[in-house]
Amino acid sequence: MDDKARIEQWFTTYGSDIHHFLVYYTGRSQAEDLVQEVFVKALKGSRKFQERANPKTWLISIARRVAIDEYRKRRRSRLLPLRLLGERKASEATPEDLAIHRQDVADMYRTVMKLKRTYRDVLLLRIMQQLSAAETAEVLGWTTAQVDVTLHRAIRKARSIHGALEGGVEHAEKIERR
Amino acid sequence: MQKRSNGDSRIELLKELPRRPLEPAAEQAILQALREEEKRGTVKRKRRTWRYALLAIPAVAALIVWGLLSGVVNRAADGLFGSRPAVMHTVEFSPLFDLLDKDGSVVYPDRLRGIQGKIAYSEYPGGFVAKSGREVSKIFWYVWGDPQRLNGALLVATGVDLSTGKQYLINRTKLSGPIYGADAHMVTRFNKFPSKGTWRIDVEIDGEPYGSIVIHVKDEYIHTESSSFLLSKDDTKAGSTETTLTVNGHDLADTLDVIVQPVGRTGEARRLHFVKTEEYVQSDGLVPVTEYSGSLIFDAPGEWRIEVLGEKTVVEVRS
Repeated sequence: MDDKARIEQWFTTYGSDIHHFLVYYTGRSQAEDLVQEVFVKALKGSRKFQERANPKTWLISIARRVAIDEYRKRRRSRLLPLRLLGERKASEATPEDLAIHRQDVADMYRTVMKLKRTYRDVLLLRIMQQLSAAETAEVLGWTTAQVDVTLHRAIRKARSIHGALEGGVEHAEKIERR
Repeated sequence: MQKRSNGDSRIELLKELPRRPLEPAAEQAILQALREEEKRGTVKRKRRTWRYALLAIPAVAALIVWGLLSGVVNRAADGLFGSRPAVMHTVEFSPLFDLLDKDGSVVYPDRLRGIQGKIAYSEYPGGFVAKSGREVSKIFWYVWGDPQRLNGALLVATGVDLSTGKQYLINRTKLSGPIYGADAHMVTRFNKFPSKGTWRIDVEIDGEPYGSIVIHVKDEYIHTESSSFLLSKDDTKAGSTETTLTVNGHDLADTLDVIVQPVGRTGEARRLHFVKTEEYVQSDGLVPVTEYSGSLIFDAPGEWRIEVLGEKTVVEVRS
């Protein structure tokens, strides 16, 4: 498969994942232009991929760099409009439960976006994107031990900001052991 | 204070942030941009390409509509030239059938619409209603075929309004494993159907055509600006029809009068009494809503004006 076909295949497979990550990482309501930039960069640098095993982590690492560049240039607000966080999730719960739950999700996201970048990186990658410690390490260029320690500290910090974060430290310990 | 279990950890809420997938139009535009980049052999930053492509879509749609309209005008004018309607042949609607378990027993009777043994979705009783999010909010796909191939495959359902030929993305979802007698399934939400009439839903799985389902979408619900009867304009008949009325907002009065009156005939207005049944937050857009129950009564077919809380609409009542 040539580089172009491979990048197109990756775009079809991971394009929406990358968009999801970029929306929440940058706090923009739309990030199509950044997604395009990510895949254009991937196309340009596809030879660099040869030694990498996992296209998804490689693409997310590009996306993270693109998002940081974007943020430096624009310095825009990192928080999403409420209505975007309020989109529904299918559930059997009552509408009231759903509304409360959505608020909880939105509050947690806001808390995470108040943290310093390394904490945000590790929480969004490990929890939101559900990457493994090894994959997160690959994206960030860290060791897995660094990922685990930073995750632990990030959750502790998030808990101190967001008073209701019961169970967070136990959770960090649990996922560190995975 | 007792701490929550690990599985209940609030940090896990991050996993539940609403999915933000690429819109299909943006996806196509980016793919096109990637192809152009490759063609040129140079890779430049092209931030706005997708926006231009999105702008192009309404332009193309406008051209198509203009073409259709001008065809109709021409045909009316001289009978020689004219565009053909999108469908010339008689359509056959896809049937409703039972969902069966592996042992052949009926799980839900008359619940699935589609192609038996191939692909079907669970239909809300009464079917879809144009512009309504109520009936499209929890739909199950059931697919039969090679379970290995289907599990994790991407299903894309495109709706074609057969009266105009216009296409809309109805649903895009990843299939999951077997359930009951089906080889793959997924619970999902369809996009609203923008217009009433006959629609064909073309389903592709992993980019390959898998089957087409032909359905009827009813006309929109009778509504004013801030309230809606859960009664399609197609189902508005002379006589008495029990129905539900939803009104935007909470803390409203316990009872509400709906005024109905034949258009052009003053002095025949009738007050219909509706009683509050519940309040909730509509999941589609987080709108607070109050629900009332009552009956719409029209003495005869024809045009009727309906007034709810000072807002009016007119409906065509059938015999």
